[in-house]
Amino acid sequence: MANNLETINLSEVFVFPKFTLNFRSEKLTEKQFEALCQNNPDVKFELSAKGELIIVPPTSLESGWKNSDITTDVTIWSRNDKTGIVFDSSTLFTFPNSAKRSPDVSWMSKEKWESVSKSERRKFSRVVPEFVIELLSPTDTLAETQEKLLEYIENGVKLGWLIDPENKRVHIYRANGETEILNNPEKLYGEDVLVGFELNVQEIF
Amino acid sequence: MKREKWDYLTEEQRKKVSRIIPDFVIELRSASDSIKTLQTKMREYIENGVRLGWLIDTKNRKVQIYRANGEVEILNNPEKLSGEDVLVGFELNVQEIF
Repeated sequence: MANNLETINLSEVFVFPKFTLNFRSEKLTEKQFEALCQNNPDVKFELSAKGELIIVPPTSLESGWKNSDITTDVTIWSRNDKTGIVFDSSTLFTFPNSAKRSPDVSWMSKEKWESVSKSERRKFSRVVPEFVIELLSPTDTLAETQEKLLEYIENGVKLGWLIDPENKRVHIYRANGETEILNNPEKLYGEDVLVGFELNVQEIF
Repeated sequence: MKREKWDYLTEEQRKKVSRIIPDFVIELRSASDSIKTLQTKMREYIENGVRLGWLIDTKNRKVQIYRANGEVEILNNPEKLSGEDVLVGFELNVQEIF
C-alpha cells in the first residue's frame, strides 16, 4: 500500500469504522447527549446502557439500498394495515435500561403512538417500538448486534429480526425469549406482532 | 440513483462509502436543523451533480426545489411535488407529512 497519504485513493481504502467512546466513569447526561446530537447534526450517535457513546458510521450504497428496500416493504404494508407506523433508521429510541438506539427499521402500534403527546413526538422517544429490524452491515459484528437484539427484547420489543445478508441468515427474537435462526429463508412473517406481514427477504440476499 | 448508474458499479464500490452520487435527494428539515445549513447543503448537492433536490420544511409547510440549472423555487404549502424530468412520473403527496 502507498505510504504517501496523498497517493491513497480514499474511495478504495476507506471504510468508516464504528467508534465507541467510554464515558462509563461519568455518564453523559440526557441534556449533554441532546446537545451533542444538536451540535453535530450530520453524525449519528447511540448510547449503550453502560454509558458508552457510539459514533455510528455512514452506510455503503449496498447497505443503504437494502435498508431503504425493507423499510419501504414494511411501510407499504403498514399504510394499508393502518394499525401502526414505521420509523426509519435515523430515529432514536430511549429504552428503559437507558440505552439510546436507532434500529434500522422500527414499527410501533397506533395505540402506543396515540399515547405519545404531540410535543413528545418531536423529541427523542422514550416509547419503545414493538417491532425492530437490524440489518447486519460490514461495520457491525454479529455478536454485538445479537446482544443489541437481546437488549431490545428485554426492554419491551415484541419481535426482532436480525438480517445477515452476507450469510443469507436471519435471527428471529421473540418476546418469550426464544431465538430462531433461519438459513436462506424465502419469507419472514410478522407473526402476532405485524399480523399478516410477509417480507420477501430474498430480494436483499 | 438511476438504475443504469447503479448497474455500472462494481461489487466493491457498492460495499464502500460511495463516491458515486445520486441523481435526486430530499432533505427533511427536523427541529434541530438550521434552514441556512440545509440551503447550503442543497446548493452543494446541485453544484456536485445532483439533478433535483427537495428541501422539505414541514414546520413552515414550505418546500424549496433545487434544479440542475441553478434555479431555486419556493412552494408554500403545496399539494404535491413532481419528480419533473428526473423521477419521471413521480408525484409526492407532501400534505401527508405536513
